[in-house]
Amino acid sequence: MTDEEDTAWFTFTVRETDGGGVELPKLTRLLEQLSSTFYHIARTKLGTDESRRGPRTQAEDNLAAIRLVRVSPGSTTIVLAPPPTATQGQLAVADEPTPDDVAFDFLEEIQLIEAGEGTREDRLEIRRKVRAVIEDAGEIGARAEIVFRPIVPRPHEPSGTVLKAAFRTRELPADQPLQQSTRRRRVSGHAFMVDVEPGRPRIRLKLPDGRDVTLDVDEQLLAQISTALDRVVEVDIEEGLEGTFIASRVARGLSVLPTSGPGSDKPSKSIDQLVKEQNLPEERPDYRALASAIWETEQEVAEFQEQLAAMRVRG
Amino acid sequence: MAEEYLVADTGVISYLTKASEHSRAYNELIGERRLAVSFQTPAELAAARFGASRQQQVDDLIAAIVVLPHGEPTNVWYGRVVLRRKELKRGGRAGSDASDADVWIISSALEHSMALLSHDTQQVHLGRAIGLKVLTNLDGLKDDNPSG
Repeated sequence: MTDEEDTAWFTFTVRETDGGGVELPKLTRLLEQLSSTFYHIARTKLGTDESRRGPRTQAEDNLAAIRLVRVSPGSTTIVLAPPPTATQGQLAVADEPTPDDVAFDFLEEIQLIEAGEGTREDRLEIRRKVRAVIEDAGEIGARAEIVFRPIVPRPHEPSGTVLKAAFRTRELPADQPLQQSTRRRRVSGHAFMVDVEPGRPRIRLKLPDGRDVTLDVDEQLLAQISTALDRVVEVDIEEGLEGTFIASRVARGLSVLPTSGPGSDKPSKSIDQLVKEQNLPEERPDYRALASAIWETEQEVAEFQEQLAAMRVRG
Repeated sequence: MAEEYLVADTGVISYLTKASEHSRAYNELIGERRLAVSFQTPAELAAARFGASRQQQVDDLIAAIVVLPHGEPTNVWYGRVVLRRKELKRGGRAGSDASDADVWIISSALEHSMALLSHDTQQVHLGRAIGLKVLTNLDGLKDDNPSG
């Protein structure tokens, strides 16, 4: 163990690794899954488990950095960067989870899995992601260990407490099967991408709050989605749920909404608006008299028709 | 909408004059409706040679007719009408020789869901081929004028 690991905020060590090294794709997958899981825990604690706009939370920023990865015979150790804001004594924005909160939740979920215990309904997706981390670690070695040194001591724990969890990474206890159900939702947005390739037709919408959502599309809507590109559409969605987790989203109905924006064939101004803007007379004009003042003879009409014909080049 | 409007093609406006043999027919087709013109029409009137003595009368006419401006929706309709013109050309059918000016005027009428008044054979054929209501006094085509 290096000096850095001795004092590290959070280390994730995979033990009993196969052979003398680690295949890079397996390591990369584990690192990405670890980061993704920490982000997801942070977002869940914020009350949103979907992509969102705006600056990242402190927890997301602080946990993004992987400080080092050390591969040695029989083990692979990942050291996450200690959270700098906490060490600098800065306060977290109100109600934002601290990096300690996120790491503690991760550790707790690992311990529940190892003990073969279920999790709360609202943490099913966290459970799914933590299991994925363990399974990715299992691709590298048979056991793993977490060492977590909270920056701020948990309640009822002395300063300097080190939390540890050792667990197997293979043949995990099976989770209780989740109750499956479906529900219908209706959303509207700007269809900025459609994919009509056979096999997996999809549509991507920009929702009014700025989020993007990608939907699989019922094959029966193929003809409709090809006309939906760059239009504002309303989509009937069927969501497949596993517990409270949304496992699938499929567009079952789609209609193009009338707008005056790009791609619309509706005039941006009504005839009444144009009449008002152009200060047209209230009384119906005498068009015959107005035309007669310009073209006084059949000859003048004929000359004008000739000029017009010369202007309108025929294909 | 309080009153009904018709889009008049540039060419048909000159037939409204009492000096034209078509005057009565076109004024009757207009009836009590008001006229609108595409943005194309003021441009064509400006390009025609009227002479200084008639310019004021031309200006008075344009000032009495609502002009339908060009916009993004007009482009959308233009694309559809051009596609229909191409299909007519492939089939060697009437309307395929309509000019781009004809296409713009048809597009303006379609955009605002108005009927078109036209004395241009190609324009009448193309407009009707894409589903536009077109009124005309042209022999051989006036029998197919929509009622109302």
